[in-house]
Amino acid sequence: MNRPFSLFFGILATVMLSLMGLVVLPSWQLGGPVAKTWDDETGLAVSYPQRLENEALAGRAVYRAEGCIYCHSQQVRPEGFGVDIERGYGERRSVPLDYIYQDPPLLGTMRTGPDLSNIATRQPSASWHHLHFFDSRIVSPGSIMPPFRYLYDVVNEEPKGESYALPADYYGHKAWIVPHQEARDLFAYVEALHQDHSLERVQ
Amino acid sequence: MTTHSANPKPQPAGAPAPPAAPRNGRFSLGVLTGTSVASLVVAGLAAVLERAVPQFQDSTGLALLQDDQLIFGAVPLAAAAAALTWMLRAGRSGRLVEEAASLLGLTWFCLSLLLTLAHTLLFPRASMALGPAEAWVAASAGLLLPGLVRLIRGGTAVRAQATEEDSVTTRAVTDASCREVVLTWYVSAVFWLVAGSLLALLASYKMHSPYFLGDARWLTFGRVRPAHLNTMIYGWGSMAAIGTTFWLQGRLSRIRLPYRPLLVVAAIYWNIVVAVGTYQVLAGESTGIEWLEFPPLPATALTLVFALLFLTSLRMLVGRRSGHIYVSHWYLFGSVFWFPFLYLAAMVAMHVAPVGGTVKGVANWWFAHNVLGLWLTPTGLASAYYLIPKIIGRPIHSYYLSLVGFWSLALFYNWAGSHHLIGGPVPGWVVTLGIVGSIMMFIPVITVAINHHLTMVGHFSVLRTSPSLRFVVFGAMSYTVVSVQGSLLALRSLNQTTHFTHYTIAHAHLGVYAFFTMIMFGSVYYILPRVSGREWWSARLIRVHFWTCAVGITIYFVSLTWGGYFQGRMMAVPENSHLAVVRYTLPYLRARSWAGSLMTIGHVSFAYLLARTLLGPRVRPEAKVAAGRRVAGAGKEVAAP
Repeated sequence: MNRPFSLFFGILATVMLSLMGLVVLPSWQLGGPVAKTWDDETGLAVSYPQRLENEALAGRAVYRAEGCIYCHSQQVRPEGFGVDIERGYGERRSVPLDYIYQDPPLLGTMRTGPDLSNIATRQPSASWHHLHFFDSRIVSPGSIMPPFRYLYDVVNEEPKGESYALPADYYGHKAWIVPHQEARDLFAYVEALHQDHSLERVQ
Repeated sequence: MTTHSANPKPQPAGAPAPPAAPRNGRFSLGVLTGTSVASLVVAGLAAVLERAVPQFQDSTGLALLQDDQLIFGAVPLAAAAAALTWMLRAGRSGRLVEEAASLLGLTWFCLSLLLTLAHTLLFPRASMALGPAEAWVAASAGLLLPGLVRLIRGGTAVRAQATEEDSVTTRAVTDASCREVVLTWYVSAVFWLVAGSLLALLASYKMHSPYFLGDARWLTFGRVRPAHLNTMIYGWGSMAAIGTTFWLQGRLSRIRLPYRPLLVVAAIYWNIVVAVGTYQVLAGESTGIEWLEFPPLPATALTLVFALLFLTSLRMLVGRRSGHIYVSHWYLFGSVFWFPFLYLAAMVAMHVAPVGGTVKGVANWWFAHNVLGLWLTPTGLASAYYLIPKIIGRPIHSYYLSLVGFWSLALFYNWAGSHHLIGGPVPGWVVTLGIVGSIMMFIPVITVAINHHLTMVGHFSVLRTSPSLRFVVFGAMSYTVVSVQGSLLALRSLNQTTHFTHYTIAHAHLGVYAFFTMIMFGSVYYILPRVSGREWWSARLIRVHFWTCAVGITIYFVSLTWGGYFQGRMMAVPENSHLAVVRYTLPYLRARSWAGSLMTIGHVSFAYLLARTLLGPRVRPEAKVAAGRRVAGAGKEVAAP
């Protein structure tokens, strides 16, 4: 092969082909970020998915910055392919519609920790999550999740306002954790993690 | 057979090249005119569609297509054709001009088509003809243009310096020309190797002992882990690859490295970019997109450097003195074009296009897998294809096998990316394409394995005496293993179990470390003495380096593969609680930390060895050439001195 020209043409053509096939065509097929709307039984208009707002949106930024995606996935695999649904990760598999407002989609590729697509449905308790963020081993013994103690203030007297009680044996005495704004945002984001509606509706 | 046949009259050495035969100029003129007409035709078709077909009436997409094809296609190409016509008439062109003109025409047309298609599909409601993507291309072209002009004017001068030197002197001359550039890139690469290894150790340790430095926010696992990946890929991997590419292209083209001061500056610039990007990741400004965690500003800066690297490679390929293009050169030229193309396309898809959702996920993994397959793999293979025959003194077994290997890799590797999303919320056909591409990869991998093996057969004894060959053969064998494993991993049945487990991490390190990094080590051990004029300071440290890394990666791979596979099997049983699975993996994660420590010891030894070697005494140049003749006499391709 002695012509740089033909070499270059082949090199360009092969990568352009895959860009078209794997990126441009799917983007064409899936279309733009358009939510689905329909009327439910009572005649109320339902729109899915909902955009994240305010605290939840800020919480998503915290999720990104702290690198949660490197241990947690957010995609439920189909029935019959793995046991995601049997494990309680969701009632149905994830579909592209679930992610249209996620920029970028936090799909994740590791399950060192469990999948979080529907964590809000599975575990709605604020105190569980805040204690879990502070030090996951308080509520999940044997967990290897990093502690996020720097998102909280620790006080020795029960404060006014939002706080959660630590177990007495953690510091050897009674203590409470007060979440910083970022911790509250992160919880708001976690509260918004649920993939609703039936498969027929959202496909 | 080349169309640029040699002029029948013998040329006195040092004379400038005569005006090329008219046939060559017409070919390039044809390309430029043809692509300009093609743009016009596309624009015309769009106009007709818009007017004739009711559902396309008032389609902004089609209107944009027409504008883009005219502004970025037909007009500049026609202008370039006119310029080339004038140059041909005035006798001011050479072979390089024609090549550059053809390449420019074709690239420009393809780029403009790509842009307009992307524009139409991704910005369906855009109202401006000049979008950010076009502005980007225009700006990059503006940066590339001075380089192109230099290429056109200066190309023949490089060949004019060519004389009737023998191969040994040529090699000494080209090696000496790469000296400052290759050393800067290599020293920087080794720095990032050590930094990335420390980050790796930290991440690995924190995984099984999360309280270690647990209150330092900037060192939380979720920041250290991407910092490790990015410093290793863009710091160590890319910089070692680039340094090796320069030296290899010098050897393969038999001309001196051009743009030397610019390339040294590029290395310093690249270091700054990687440092800034890593700092931003540790500071919490990561984009959250795997393999693209660097925020847009440092990331885009990398692409600009790559424009320079591509230009350098283009000039060396087109201005080469060797007639035939060796297999390594195909891989290198491919990789040096593919990487910036991938990076630019990924940047546009991630930060410019308004589409969110799973399309970005697919684009993400198209990019990330192609960094492995179209950037790291070709450079590793190019080095192996050059160093194996060079060190054992025998040619590669089969030219036709290498041809098949290259084109099947170029064709199939591209498509494998979506195998990262098997079971994910993407259309099934996208995933299937990825699986098919991954399985078809058996063809290039087996081809390369046969080629390398039949070259080495009967010469494995050389492994005892050549450390470079030890690293390279270790790498080449690992390439076969990791690729076969990868093809099998893509099958839905196995993927069901192993997806989301540590098995994937073991596979990734088998590829990037056992294959690519070990070949890079071998390349550095071969190349550094030849560009710096210094012998390696201690043979013992080389052995330490090899054995710590070889044993380390083997422990790494075995422990995480075993642990990851059974992690997957446990996860497949819903009754197993997640914490029970975590508890199961702990001893394997600890074994990985031990393995990583071993590998880090190897890397630190390597860095120390490099420092002692470069700060040591220099061999006199005459002695180097004489030594080169003695060694070259053992090979087949050089006539007796």
